[in-house]
Order: sequence, then C-alpha cells, then structure tokens
Amino acid sequence: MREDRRKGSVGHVRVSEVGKVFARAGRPEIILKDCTFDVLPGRLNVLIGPSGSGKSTLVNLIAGYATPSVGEVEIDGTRVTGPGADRMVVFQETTLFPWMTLIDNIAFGPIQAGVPKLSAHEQARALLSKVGLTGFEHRFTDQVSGGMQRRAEVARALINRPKVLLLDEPFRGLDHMSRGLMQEYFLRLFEDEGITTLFVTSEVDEAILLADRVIVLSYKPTAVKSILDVFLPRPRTFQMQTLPQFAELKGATLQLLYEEALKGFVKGTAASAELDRLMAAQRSMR
Amino acid sequence: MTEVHTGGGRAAERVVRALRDPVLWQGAIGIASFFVVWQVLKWIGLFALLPGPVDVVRAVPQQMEQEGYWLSWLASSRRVFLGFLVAAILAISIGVSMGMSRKLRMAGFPILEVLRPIPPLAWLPLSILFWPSPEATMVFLTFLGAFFPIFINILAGIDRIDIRYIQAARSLGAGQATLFWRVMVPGALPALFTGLSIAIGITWEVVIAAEMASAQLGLGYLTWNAYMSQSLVGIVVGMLSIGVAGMVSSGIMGWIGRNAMPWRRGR
Amino acid sequence: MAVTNSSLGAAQVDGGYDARLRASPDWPVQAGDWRARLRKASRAQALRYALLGFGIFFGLWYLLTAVIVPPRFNYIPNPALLFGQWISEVPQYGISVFIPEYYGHIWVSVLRVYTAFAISVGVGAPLGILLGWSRFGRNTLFPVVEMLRPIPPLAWVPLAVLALPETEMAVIFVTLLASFFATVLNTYLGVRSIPETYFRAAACLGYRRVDVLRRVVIPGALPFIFTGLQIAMGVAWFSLVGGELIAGRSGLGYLILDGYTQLALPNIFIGMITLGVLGWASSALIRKVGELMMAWHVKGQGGGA
Repeated sequence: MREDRRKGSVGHVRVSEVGKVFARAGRPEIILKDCTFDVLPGRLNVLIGPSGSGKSTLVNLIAGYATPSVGEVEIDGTRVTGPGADRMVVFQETTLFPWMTLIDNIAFGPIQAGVPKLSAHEQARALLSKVGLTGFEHRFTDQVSGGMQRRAEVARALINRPKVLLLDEPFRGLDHMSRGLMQEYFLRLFEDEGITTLFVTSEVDEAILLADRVIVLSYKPTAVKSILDVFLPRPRTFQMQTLPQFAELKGATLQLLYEEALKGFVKGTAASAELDRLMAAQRSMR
Repeated sequence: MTEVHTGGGRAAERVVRALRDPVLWQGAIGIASFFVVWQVLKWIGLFALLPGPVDVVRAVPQQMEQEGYWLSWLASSRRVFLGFLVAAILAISIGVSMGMSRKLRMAGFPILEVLRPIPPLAWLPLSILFWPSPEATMVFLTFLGAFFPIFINILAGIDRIDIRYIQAARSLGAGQATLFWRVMVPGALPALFTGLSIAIGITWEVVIAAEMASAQLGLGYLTWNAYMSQSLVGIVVGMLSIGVAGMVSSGIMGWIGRNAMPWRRGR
Repeated sequence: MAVTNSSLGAAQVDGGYDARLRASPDWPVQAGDWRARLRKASRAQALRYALLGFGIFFGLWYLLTAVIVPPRFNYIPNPALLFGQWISEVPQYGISVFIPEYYGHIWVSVLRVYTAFAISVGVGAPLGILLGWSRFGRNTLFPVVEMLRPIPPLAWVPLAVLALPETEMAVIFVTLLASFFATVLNTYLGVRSIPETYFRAAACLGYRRVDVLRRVVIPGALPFIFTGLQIAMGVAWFSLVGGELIAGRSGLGYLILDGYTQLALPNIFIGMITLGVLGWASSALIRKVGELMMAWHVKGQGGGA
C-alpha cells in the first residue's frame, strides 16, 4: 500500500474544460473559464496566479467541496463528485481541532479508518518528529505557534496517505523566516513521501523553489496561461535560489504574472499593491 | 486564570510577589474604605436602622449557630441543584435537537421565543397553585430561570461551529457519530458553559425570591424571617450567605468548565 | 472512463464555451429573481412550521384545560376563556383591555422599570468608564463592585424595605440593582476593549482628557455599553417582578399576586403575558436605538472576528 503510492503511480488529477459561475447579487460572475490541466502523479505541481484569480475555487472543485458548472475533474480516471479520503486539503487558516492535542489531531484520520489507537499514535509520533514537533505531541493547537500549527496540519493530511495532497496557500501569513523553514520541512516531506501534490501559492520564489511544474493562471476569468517545468535537482535546498537557472525561471514566471496582474489593474480590480510588488520584483531582476 | 502549576518554593515566592503588588493594596484600600464609610454613616446616624459592619461581624457566629442555618444552606442548594439539573438536561436535549433539525427548530423555536421574555418570577403565583408542594414550586421556578440561558447558548453554540471543522472531519473519514461526539460536542462546549454559568447565577436569584414567598427553610426564607422579626443583622448575614452561595456555585461551575475544556485553559 | 454528459454535448452544438456556461445550473436564471423566490419560499415554510408549532401548543393547552383536565390543571384557564376575558368589556375579574385599572398597573410597572433603568445607566455608565479608564479607580473600586455583585438583587428586598422610607423606593432600588451592575460591568469591559494604540494616537494628536473621553473612550466602548443596556433592561424587568411580588402594592407583579390571592386565574395570565410583551418590547427598543447609534460601527466591523 505504502509502496504503490510512492514515486508517482497514483493521484493523476485531470481538470478538463472546467468552468465555474457564481451568482453575485443575481448576476453571473464567471470565475473559471475553460481550465484544462493535469496534476501529474508523484510530482509537486504548483498553481500560481494573481490574487483574485480562482485558485481557491479550483482547489475546492478538486477537493469536491463544490462542483464545476461545466467540465469535470477526474482522479485516476474516476470523476470527482464530492469530498473523499483520497484527497486531503490543507488550508491557509488552521482547521486543526482546537479541542484535541496535536497527536490526537494527527491520529484522527487513521483511527477513523480503523487503525488501532496505539499504532495510529505511533505513526503520528513518527510523522511529528519528521516535521520537527517532537515534544509538542500533547500540546493543544492554541498552545503552539502558527508555524507549528501549519506543520501539524500538513502531517494530519499526510498520515492518511492520500492520493493527492492539496495545499491552498498553506504558508501565507507567516513571517519570512518561518516561511523559509516551512518550505524546507515541506520539501523534505515531499521528497521522502512522493505524494502527488498540488500546491497553491501567490509567491513566485516559493513556487519555483518547491515545484516540479508551475501552472500559471490568467486573470479573470481564470484559465491556464502557461505551464513551466522546473528542472532544478532534488533534493532542493534554499541555496538553489541563487542559481542562474532559478533566476531565469523566476523572470519568465514574473513576466507572465505581470501581464495578468496588469490586466486586472487596468480593469481596476486587482490590488495595486500586488502589482507594485511584482513590478519591484521585476526591476530587481534586471 | 491563575493556576499554581508548581510546588511549595515557587508558591511562596508567588505569595510574596502578590503581597508586593500595588493592585492588591489598592484593592484592600477600596474595600476597607467601603466598610469605613458604612461604619461612619452608622455613627453619624444616617441609615440609623442599618447595622454597622462591626455589628454584623459580631453577629455572624451567633447567626450561624442559630437553628436551621446550615439546614437552610442544604435546602436552598438542593433546590438550585435539582432545578438546574432538570433545566440543563431539557435545555441541552431540546437545544441539540433544534440545532440539528431545521424543521423542529422552525416549529418549536417561536414558541420558546414567546415564552422567554416572561420573567421567571412571574410564574410564581401560578406555580404555587399548580404544583402540589412548595418544594416542587421552587424547583420549577429554578428550572424556568435556568432553562432559557442554557437553551439559547447551546443553540448559538451549535450554529457557530466552524463549517471548516465539519468539512475537515468528513474528509478525514468521520462518520455521523464521530462527527457529533468529536466535533459538534466539543465545538459547542464553550457556548454551553457560558449558558450554564449564566444559569447558575439566575437560579440563586430565583430560588431566593421563591423562598421568601413560600418556603419554610432556605437562605431566602432565613433572610425573610429576619425581616419579619426586624433583625437587621440577620438580614445582612442572610444576604452575605446568599452571596457566598452564589459565588461558590459559580466557582464550581467554572472549575467544571475548565476541566471539561482543557484546551481553553490559560486563555 | 469519462462520464458522458448529454447536456454538455447539446451545448457544444449550440457552439462555444460561453453557451455551455450559460446552460449550467449555476448560471442565474434572471437577475435576482430566483433568489427572491427562494427566500420567499423558505420564509413561507418557516411560517408554516411556526404556525404548526403554535397550533400544537395551543391545542395541547386547550385539550388539557377544557377537555381532559387532569388534576390541578383546573388552575390553568383555557386559552379561549383567557383571551375572551382579556378582551371582554365586562370581565369577570375586573381586568381587561377595556378597564383603566389594567393600564394603571402597566403604567406603574413601566415607570418603575424606566426610572430604575435611567438611574442605573446614569450612575453605572460613568462609573464603568471610571473603572475602565483610571487604573487607580479600577484597583480600588472594582473589588468593592465584585464583592457586592454576587448578592442577588432580590436578597436586598427586606433590607431595602426596612431601610428606605417608602416601599416605592424599595421596589425601584431592587429593580435598579441588577441593571446597575450589568451597566457598570459592560461599560468597564467596553473601555478595556479599546486598543491602547487609540489612546497613544490621541496623545500624539494632543487631545485633552475631555477630548479623549468624548472622542475615544465613549465611542470605543459604545458597542459594549449597548450590550450592557440590553442585559440591564432584561434584568430590570426580572427584578421588578420580584420586587412587586414581595413588596409591591401595584404594578403587573402585584396584579399577578392579587390574581393569586383572589383566585382570579385569568388575571395571573394577563399579567404574565403583558410582562413578557413589555419586556420584549423594551429590549427591542434598546436594540434599535443601539443599531441606529452604531451604524458606523457595524459597517466598520466587516471582516472582524
């Protein structure tokens, strides 16, 4: 069971011709339009797009919390009709249960699946040590830092050996230092476990550092603008951010995002702060 | 929340530090001046009827030795406990069923909303007529006082459970029973305890009034009896006893709450 | 194995991705229309269920008091009789909407509650601000407040009756006690909830203490103050009934007690229901005033947790 989920045999997500409309005050608002892409099994797929593009909507559709208006989402050839234990989602805000200790939170999934409590706790303890939380097993969620919560949350998802791990801007809101640390921890986890991953972010550096493939989204209505392959070697380290290859990829991604952010800006809907940030980043590239 | 986690040495240090704290001294000054003003008013002759603090302190042992004092504690506590228990059981079961079933809520909630604004004590005369014994009357009133705060709070608590917790639990493979016991119950617990601690305060209030009107024993009766025999010292001692009783019950409630919700400690 | 979707195929014939989007059930049919219809439908459903609930309630009431009448239920008037008496021009027990005495009781009770409320707000809110704003005031006075607060207002009745020259004053005193503490406590919490940075900003702007009070402390504490006022109004009615039952010579509490001693059962119920309606209306009034005064606050709260 463990072996066949390693190194890319399962978790192929195919998003084909997906569109999503919401009614806002009785008027249609097209969020996604004709989105087609694959989340390749065993790879770390990163989804990046300007804020306000339908990144979270896409995650919700794949997770099964919402259904597409048009098109379909398949996992290993089976159509997604609702949430399931084959997909685990980690959101930006913690959804760890505050009334359970970290270890109880993490062992929750296996215990629900019928694993005896003792061995579920053993698995949980092993995973906690992998994300650097040894010694915090019996703390409650609110008694540990935000970064620790995020790591525990990833562990809670991973322990269930899902086919696909979905992460919706999981490190957003952390300070720069802890974010860097989180990325390192996450890279080690991914490289050890090899679970198919879709990682949503709006940070270009994060995207390139983590990704095997970067899927760049266009601005409203959201579609896939481009897909870039990242051929940096694994295991990745944060020192790779200084490689010329990295800079090249960053430049290309920024150019794509810049065009999209500009579109949003012209429409008067994108946050101008985001544009400023992108422009500054571009200037620093030159 | 101040809780002593460590043993003797640290505790002693803590006491010393607490004694040096200006907040403590200023508080002591406040309370002391309250009693001084009270005593001075007494000497001047304002509120001449009132006993001074010295009279009260002197009378406390004698009042406490009087026949039925401790029995009154017992009687009142029993009424509060019974009424509170029945209210908690009913309010929780009705609240949870209405929290889970929309139809039940649409049918039942409006009636309870109509009954809720009627002050519990307004039910007193009717209850005296209706219930066969004064004891049942008082327990019923206590129940009425405690029911609505518990009911409203548990309902609000269920409504306010974050949908993301439910989604997360579902994704992790939780079934209906697990969802209820491991997510809904702990999620609604803080609101429930808010309701319970409001309710325990109201039960004392109601029981006192009911006892004044219809009891033969109890702290409210004690106070009323002192009034009938024009013993002002007795009245004040009765009031103080009631205050202490209320504080002790709230303390117990808080203690239970902290132990039932260990994750909220230190907040 | 792709699942075939017939509507998908049909839409493709019509041409274009937009057409497929438009054909999806998520697409709003007519602007606003279905939402309004849905809301109306759910409101109608709620009303149906509420009527069902009331139907069962009154049905049971009638059944138990007019048809079956188990022992002791004869003390409860059946709803038809009760409401008949209430609107009768010549009520059997002397109280109905046509009898001025009824309004006399209402007036006395309302007057007592609002007097007590006004006093407790007039004294309690400034005291709460003092407690919240001045460290020394808080440290010295708060323990005294905390010492007196656990004594239930109704336990004060005997003392108040003996110590105050008039029964009327005693009833008002008992009525105001609970609302006084509610106002003090919530105002205090309100002032304490104001972020320290606001005070620093005010200091930077060179506000005098009066200005800080008027432009930072009061508006900042207002939401809590209004919560306090709502609680205060509720407990005022609560205590009023106790006071009137034990020591009153008039008012709705007294009407209930009198109904008991005279065995005028409908009067007990008229008194109870009237109290419920007045208590509810008073709370609604305060809520409305609060909403009006804090329109800016509600707007500003958008994303706040």
